[in-house]
Amino acid sequence: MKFSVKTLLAFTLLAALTVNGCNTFFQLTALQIENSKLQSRLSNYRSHTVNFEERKLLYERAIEATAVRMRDLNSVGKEQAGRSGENHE
Amino acid sequence: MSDPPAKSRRRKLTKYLFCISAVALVFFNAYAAICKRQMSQSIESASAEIHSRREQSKELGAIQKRFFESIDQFREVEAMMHQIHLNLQDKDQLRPILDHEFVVTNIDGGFESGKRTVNVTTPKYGSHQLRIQIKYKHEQLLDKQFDLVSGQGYRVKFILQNNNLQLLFPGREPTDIEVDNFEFANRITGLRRALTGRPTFVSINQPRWRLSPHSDAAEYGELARFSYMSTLYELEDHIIVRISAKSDGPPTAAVDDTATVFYLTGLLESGFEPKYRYENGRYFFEEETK
Repeated sequence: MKFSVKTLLAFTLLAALTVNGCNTFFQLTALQIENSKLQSRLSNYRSHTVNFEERKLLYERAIEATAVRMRDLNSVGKEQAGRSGENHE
Repeated sequence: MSDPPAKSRRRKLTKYLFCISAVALVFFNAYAAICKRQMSQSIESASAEIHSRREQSKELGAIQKRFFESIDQFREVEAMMHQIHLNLQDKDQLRPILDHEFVVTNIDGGFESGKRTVNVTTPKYGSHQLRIQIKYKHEQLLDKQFDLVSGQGYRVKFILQNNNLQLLFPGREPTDIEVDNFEFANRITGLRRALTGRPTFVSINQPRWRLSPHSDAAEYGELARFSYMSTLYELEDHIIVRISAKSDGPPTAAVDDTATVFYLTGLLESGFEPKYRYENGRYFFEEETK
């Protein structure tokens, strides 16, 4: 059985297109799997960092408030220590 | 052998099939390439978001850690302040009550258990008659302790030695007072509740240093009540000192009358109005000593 050059070229083109299509399809499947994994990780991170700015602000305010209370306590302590020293004298 | 028109048709059909397959494959490849590109972009953006979220998570973790550290540090400082506060209570603030001699006279019915009328004399207010309840847990021991003074007035002093509250009888060795701490402290808490007119959050199990001193009184702005509150806090602090110093053994010999006298005397010393009435019309002393 003899094939003309034209027919051979046509078959080669079809084969190349098929191979390329299959390759792309497999790559696409792999990417989909990777993407679904990433999306699940992302939703996990999202749930951990929900209202991030607000929470960060709250924590910062709480730290600041604690520092202020601590400063107050320290000044009261110094005052008391001073008074105690005077009394002892 | 097939005829030429049939052969020509087969060739045509093959050409069509080839063209259709080629076009389909081209479209499929193009579509797959587009999908792949979109997927890659999606992965890229997800990776970028994950990276930024991870940074945020780290930042949040760090700030949380800082917050808890600052709270711990604050608690340490507060606990340290509490120590200072207690020391001051011992040395300075309790001084008007401690080492002060006062007289207890005319205990009708002696020192036996039950309700008694006691005359307490203070320099500021003179003599006041109080109703007290004597509840001894170790009656024999206490009878021995008080036998020298039954029926007569006696002068006593409260002193603080090694963080123990002691009752000093003249000419005798100092005697440790074993007050029923919890009952006494609860009574003070109840009194404070009555004075502030609202439920108090203070309980005997709550660490003292968590409380804001005089916050109740200060919040209400009732200066007249402030000195009473102050005394109550002082007494409460004193009780706490005793609890921490004496908590290893079971409560022995509850000298309830001594506790009451000590408590009421402290109030009188700080300027408490003996005729203070509650809203229900009952006298303060009557209510607190029944």
